Amino acid sequence: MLRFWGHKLLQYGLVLLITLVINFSLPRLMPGSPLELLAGEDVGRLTTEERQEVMSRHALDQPVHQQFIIYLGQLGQGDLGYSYRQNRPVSTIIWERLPWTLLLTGSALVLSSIIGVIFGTLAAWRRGRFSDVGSMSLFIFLDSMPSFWLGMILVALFGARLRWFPVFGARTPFADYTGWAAVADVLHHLALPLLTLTLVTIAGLFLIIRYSTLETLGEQYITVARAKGLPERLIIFRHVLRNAMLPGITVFMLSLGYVVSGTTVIETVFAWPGLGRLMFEAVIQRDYPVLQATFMVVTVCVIIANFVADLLYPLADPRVRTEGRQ
Amino acid sequence: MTKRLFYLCLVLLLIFASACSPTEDPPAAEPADEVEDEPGNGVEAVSLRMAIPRDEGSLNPYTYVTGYPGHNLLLLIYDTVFQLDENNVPQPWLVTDHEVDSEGINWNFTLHDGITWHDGAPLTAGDIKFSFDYYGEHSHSRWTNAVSAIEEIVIEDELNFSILLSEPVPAFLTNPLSDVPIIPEHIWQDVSDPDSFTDHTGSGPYQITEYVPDQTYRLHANADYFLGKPAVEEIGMVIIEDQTATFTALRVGDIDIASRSMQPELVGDFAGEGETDIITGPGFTSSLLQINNEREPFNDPLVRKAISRAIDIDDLVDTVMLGYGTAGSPGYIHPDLPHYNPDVEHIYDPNEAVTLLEEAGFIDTYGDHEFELLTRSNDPLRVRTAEMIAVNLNAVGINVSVQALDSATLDDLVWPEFDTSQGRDYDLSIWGWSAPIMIDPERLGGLFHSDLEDRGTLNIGAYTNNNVDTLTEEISVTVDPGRQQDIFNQLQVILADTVPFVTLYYPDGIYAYRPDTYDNWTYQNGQGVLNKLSFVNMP
Amino acid sequence: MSPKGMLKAIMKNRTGRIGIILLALIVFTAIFAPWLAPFDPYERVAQPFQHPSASHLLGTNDIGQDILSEMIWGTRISLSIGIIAAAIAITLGTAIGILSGYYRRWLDTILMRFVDVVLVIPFLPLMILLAAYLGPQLTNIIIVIGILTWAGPARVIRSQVLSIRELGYVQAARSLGGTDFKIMIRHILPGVMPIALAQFIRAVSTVILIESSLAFLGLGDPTAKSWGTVLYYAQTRGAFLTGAWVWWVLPPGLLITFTVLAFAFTGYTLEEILNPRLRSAGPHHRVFFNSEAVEKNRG
Repeated sequence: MLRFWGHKLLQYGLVLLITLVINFSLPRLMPGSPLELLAGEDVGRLTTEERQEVMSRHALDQPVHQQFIIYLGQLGQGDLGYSYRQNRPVSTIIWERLPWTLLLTGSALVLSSIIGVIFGTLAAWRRGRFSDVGSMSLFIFLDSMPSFWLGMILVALFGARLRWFPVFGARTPFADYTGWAAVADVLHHLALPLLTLTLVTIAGLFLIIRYSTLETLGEQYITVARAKGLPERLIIFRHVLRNAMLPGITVFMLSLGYVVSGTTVIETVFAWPGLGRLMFEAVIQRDYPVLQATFMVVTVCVIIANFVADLLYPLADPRVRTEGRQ
Repeated sequence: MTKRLFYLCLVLLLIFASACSPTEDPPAAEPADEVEDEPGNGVEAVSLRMAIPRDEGSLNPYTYVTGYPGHNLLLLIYDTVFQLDENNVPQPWLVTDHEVDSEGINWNFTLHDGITWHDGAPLTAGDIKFSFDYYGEHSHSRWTNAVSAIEEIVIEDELNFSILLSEPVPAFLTNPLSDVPIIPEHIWQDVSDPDSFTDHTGSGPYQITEYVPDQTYRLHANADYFLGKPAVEEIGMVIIEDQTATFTALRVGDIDIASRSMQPELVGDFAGEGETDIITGPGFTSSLLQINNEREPFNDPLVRKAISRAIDIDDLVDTVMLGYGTAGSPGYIHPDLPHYNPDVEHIYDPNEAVTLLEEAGFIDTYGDHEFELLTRSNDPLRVRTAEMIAVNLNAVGINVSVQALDSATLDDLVWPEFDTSQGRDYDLSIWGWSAPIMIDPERLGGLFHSDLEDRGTLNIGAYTNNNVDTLTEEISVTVDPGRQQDIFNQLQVILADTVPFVTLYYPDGIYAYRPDTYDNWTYQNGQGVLNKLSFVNMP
Repeated sequence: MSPKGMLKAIMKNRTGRIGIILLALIVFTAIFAPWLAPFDPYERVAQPFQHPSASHLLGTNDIGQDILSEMIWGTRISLSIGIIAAAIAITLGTAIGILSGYYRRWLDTILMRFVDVVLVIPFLPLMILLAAYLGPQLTNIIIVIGILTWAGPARVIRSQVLSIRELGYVQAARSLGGTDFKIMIRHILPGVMPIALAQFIRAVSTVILIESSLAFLGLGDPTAKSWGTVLYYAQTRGAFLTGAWVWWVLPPGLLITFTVLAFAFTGYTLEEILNPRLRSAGPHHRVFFNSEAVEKNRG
């Protein structure tokens, strides 16, 4: 058992190392130069010496492997570097953005999971009836919409036309709210992006829960329980739900990893100050340190979530544990 | 059951929506009401909110990011020695008197009395000398080159100083004097790495009181400003990247003006509607069809001229800009500028284009070749421009396909490392230059001189013409206005004839704003409303 | 199960039937676009920004092209993007899934770690990078989406292979001395085909959504008239701020939604049919949600 986990850990470590290399080289392989960010807007006027001076200030004149070693060294000390665009430590920027992303994607994940589990179980219970087909169609329909399209329509309708909700950002600028007023303000801003993101993601967990509930319902022991005349409600809660939740938990864990990467598209539509948008801008502007750092945070989270899901799954389901040992 | 499910969904949504919207106390609307209720002096408002598209760092001369609106905002916080008026004529600002010798080498200035920095320290001739020296020593792409002709600055006393140039600079009052911000010596004297220095103490009409990176800036009026207190008490700047979000915010009243120029199709919906209005005027930014003069067959001036003849630029202005633009002059210079030569004119004549191509032997060699016309994929106006040009060019027998690229990738092909001497790899590209590159006549050398190492730093098509080289060299040291205009006229004629690129159009500036909040905007010709004169009167 | 049998089974299911009928409509429109469209969508036929009228039912776009014709032609383009990119992804995924599941051991470990890496690489920069090297044309965007979405299906197919290879007829073929290649082509491949088909159908809908998101972010090919591109122009040319969103934004969005829906309905129904006991709660659930999460989060 211990050897098995050691082996897994090694594998994940390897994946992490490879992604680090990729995260480092991707920005540098992209065509285009960060020089404009580094030297200011009127970059064409620089003399050759000034260019070299700027590049060497940021160690960009060094050979790539040398840069990678410098990068690893800084990383080892927990230093994520300075943003070329903002002249601030990348770690500060990420810490500012992270809570907003977690708030939006995290609450969307929780909401859509709750709705997905409730309706997934109900739908399986009523398999083939209209409520099953109806809820399944509805959620797949929502899932089929381009999220930015749905978001923009909601903004146009509930923001610009009806003026029920703010149209951009996460807080009212310059309002200086404190305490509960600040919380209310954030929630007010959160409503539309959260609604959008929740609606387009319910289908995922809904379908999984529905499938696994159906599957559990077909198991021998449920048939036996039914034959014994146990009340349906009891069967659902005691036997079916517990087993059907297993794949749901794994999926939830895995999605947790992606929560950090944010949703560039939704963040763009709602001008939400999250990590996804930060990453997108860094890509467009070739802000290497921010790129490397956001990639790293995202990939590490995904890998950890994968690892935890791997850990949890066999603990919960004995069938996989034996399979894993082989 | 279906119904029940439906209602369940509905109830769930409602609960969720009501939980998220604090309907009882609507704090979001409050600040806006406050602003409107409290009367300023007459129409002028106490507080103004403006959207800008991206973060501009801590907004000092080394940390601001963009030419527009970054540089404009910078100059609300810092002052320049001179200031361009509405017609871009430099007027004394920090100084009251100036005189210059006949060669244009030795300049004498007297500072306005009683100017102070935001921290209360007096602004003296020492600060002026310090600033120009500092920019000379600590390289910055915009300032360092601009001050390179300054040989020496001599301080006579607190208020009097003279600047000695190494050679005459014809537009010296425009650039550097109206462009380069003055920084306080007592704050910057020990700063060795300006890129990571974030102080923003200036002497301008506004000072930054709060900066939340990536979100907001709060600018407060400088009550002790030497030209009187600015009209707007507070300017709150909000960063909104997305264009639709920006103008939606303007419509609902979350902001009062957007720094970005509005797209022409929205004018009808925002102009004179009551709550919002627009200010328009000519713009000095340019949209060009950049041609790689180095690559065959475009190294042949006949082929370039044929391209120019093939393009219907009036159709571009009418269709892409919906008329909100000025058709390009083949001499590059905007018709509203004093050095424009009205004798050069764009000629749209596809038949002549065909004749020229035949004369150049184009069809025999390149009749089947497909050329690439590059453009930035995130700028729909430019993509449309490219598509229409492709139709124009295909009609005269030049096969062109439009390629839309990520903007950094495009830069890398057209202007690798932003260094024209490093070569280029493209056929044709949609390109554009900002307003300063139109206004400052010295920049013509940068655009057209064939010495790519030193002079032709913006000559991204590697255009070569000996006469142009000589004329641009001469203009950079000519101070006599008559001779200057003569050279400008000659230059524009040569450019129209040899076509280094095709100047397509100059988009108008279209600024949407809410007049109830503030209505005293000054449109600086070609450069828009975001300038000091919108808040402070000329002395 | 024969393709005919599958179709029959899908048509028996209510959602499946809706899916197939919608698909038929969409494919019909795509094939007969030139005859159905009133105008050439690339030709400027009227003034820009016209409201709907008798001659232009959905008005005209920002340079005076007929929006209805763009919609009809867009069917062809969006559908091709979806089908070709999905085909690339599933072909790659099937090949790697079969190799990995059949040989197991070190090859499996290497390939599956590779899958892990591909699943965590940030999508956007890779997209820009590949587009820069290949060129920004639509064909390359298709290829890029294709080679970035194979990893999820590869996992699903591998797990299917793992169970097929233990089946009697495969073991028999082995003991009779069939070469690995022969066994993989003759016995394993037919066994995973239905699952691969279901994955393919779902991949098509994912790809169509990814393409529209890329277009929205300005990373698509704005010269190719997919529905995503039409939305991009509508969005950037102020349709949300004027009344134009009713005829310029709703139609392409709804068309995307219904196309994705048609594929999803068909795909899910097919999966249910293929797995009467409803697939075991194995890794493919995870992967399914992963690939969705990847699309949603990365896009």
